[in-house]
Amino acid sequence: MSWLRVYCQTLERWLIRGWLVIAALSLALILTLSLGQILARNFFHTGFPDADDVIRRLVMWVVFAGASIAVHTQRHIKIDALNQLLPDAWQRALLLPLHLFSSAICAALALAAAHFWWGEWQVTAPADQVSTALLLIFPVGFAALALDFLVRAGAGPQSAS
Amino acid sequence: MTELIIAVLILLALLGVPLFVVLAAGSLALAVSNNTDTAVLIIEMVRLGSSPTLLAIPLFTFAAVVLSHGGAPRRMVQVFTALVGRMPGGLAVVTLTSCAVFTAFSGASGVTILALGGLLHEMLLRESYPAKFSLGLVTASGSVGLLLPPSLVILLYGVVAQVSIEHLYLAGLLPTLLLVAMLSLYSMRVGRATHSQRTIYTREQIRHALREGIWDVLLPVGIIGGLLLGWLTISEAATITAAYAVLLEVVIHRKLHTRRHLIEVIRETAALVGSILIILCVAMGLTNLLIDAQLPMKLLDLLDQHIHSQIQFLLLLNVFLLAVGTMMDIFSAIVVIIPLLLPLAQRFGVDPIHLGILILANLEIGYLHPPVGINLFLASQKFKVPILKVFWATLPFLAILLIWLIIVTYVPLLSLWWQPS
Repeated sequence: MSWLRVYCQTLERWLIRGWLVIAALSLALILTLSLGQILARNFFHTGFPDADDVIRRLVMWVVFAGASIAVHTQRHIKIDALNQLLPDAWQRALLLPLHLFSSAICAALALAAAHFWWGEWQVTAPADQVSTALLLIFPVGFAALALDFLVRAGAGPQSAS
Repeated sequence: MTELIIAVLILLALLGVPLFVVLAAGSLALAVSNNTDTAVLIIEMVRLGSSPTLLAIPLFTFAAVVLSHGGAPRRMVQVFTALVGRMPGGLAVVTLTSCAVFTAFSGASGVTILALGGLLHEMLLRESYPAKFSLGLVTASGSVGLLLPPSLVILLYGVVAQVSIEHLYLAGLLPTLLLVAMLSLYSMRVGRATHSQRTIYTREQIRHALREGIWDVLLPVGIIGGLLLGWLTISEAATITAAYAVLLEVVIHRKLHTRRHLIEVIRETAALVGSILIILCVAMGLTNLLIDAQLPMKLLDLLDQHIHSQIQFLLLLNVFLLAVGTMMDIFSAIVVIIPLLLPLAQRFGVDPIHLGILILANLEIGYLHPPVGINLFLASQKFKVPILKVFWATLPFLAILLIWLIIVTYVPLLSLWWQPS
């Protein structure tokens, strides 16, 4: 099964790269738009009409990109008091079922989010389509997290960091 | 059935399943058992995403990571050493103030021990401070500064409790100053008693330290001033801080100019923001379902039978939070516990701003508290000292922190001095 591990590790590296690009672009846009808003408000007594809305949506893109990166670098907050007491072999054996469980929960949230987003999209006015389109991060983000946990399970105990 | 689900979820959490997955599983189970559409959970997440103050969290985190990678903590230590190093116990005061400022930016005190602990511990030993005192001081200093702007935990409390973040920052100022003063007095006494050396910089060294680090030191001054004077909203302060940090480290000091540095900064920022806010996203849905199930009301009824005054409530709260602080990460504790505590505190007449300060003070002390205070473990790993030795070294500081906690808890004026009477 070593081919599967190698495959998962390669896929993991690409996933991290993809999320890094999304996080970097979102952060750069957030910072630029926020600075632009401050300058426009204070010096020209105006502002970009939809900028605040877009900025708030982009924050969620950073959140999901970061949550995905945190899966691969094993940075998610956890309590794991019991896990520390178990022998290494047990810890390794538990890795697969626990990651599969996490993946299933994220997949369930992705379904709920897709259902929610589709309902929203159908009643969105044309002027608000950009804002609603950015809400796609909820189904996409949770689906990606489900994939991230699967890939992490296949990549073995070593963190991608 | 409910008990079985709760037991399984606790077991999964203890086995190391990420907390956000455990909370999400709980939310899904609760929604299904109540015949509620699971899309409700997503509605709560979208509502959270629409909060105007949420923007401050990624931007302040980004600024903190940029400054930390650019070497700002070391430059700050140099400035503070140049300014107060010549006082008796001066280096101990430098340790406290540098850690306080860095913790305010980094948000989690464990990071302070890892980032600054090694440097400061070595400096303290070199200036002949007792080894036990130095170890205790560096470990305990990670707990100072968590209530100062632009602390992430304050931001998170503000978002969860839906209270003014500017007011929370104002409320945290005097308690932090009091804590720094109490710890400084103790440290100066030890410095004098043990005849520790003073760090005296030459005029040229002072000029150099100030030239290098003055822009770092001015940043917290600017944020506190801007917020106190009402010139900046919290989101504007976060935007300006992030832009300033980039200017400082990329253009002025040129410490972060390679692609590798930038990737590292983005990865660190995203992982920090993602791991904290995804818990908040998921917990919002769970909290809503728990409120629908009238859990806070049931807790209130239970408390009403045994607790009859505000003082009794605060005492119970202190004990409960100190225990939580030893077991749970501060970010997850805020997200999970605060929605349940808020209605109880209101019932006993505790101001939500004061409640925030005392909750965070309690949780932070929990980091130093045995049996599982995380700062004790971090210091033990970092300085390669047995955990029991770290605990003994921090004991005097823990005692001071507990006295401070009592003052903060039972003298609300210290946190609410700015409110009209």
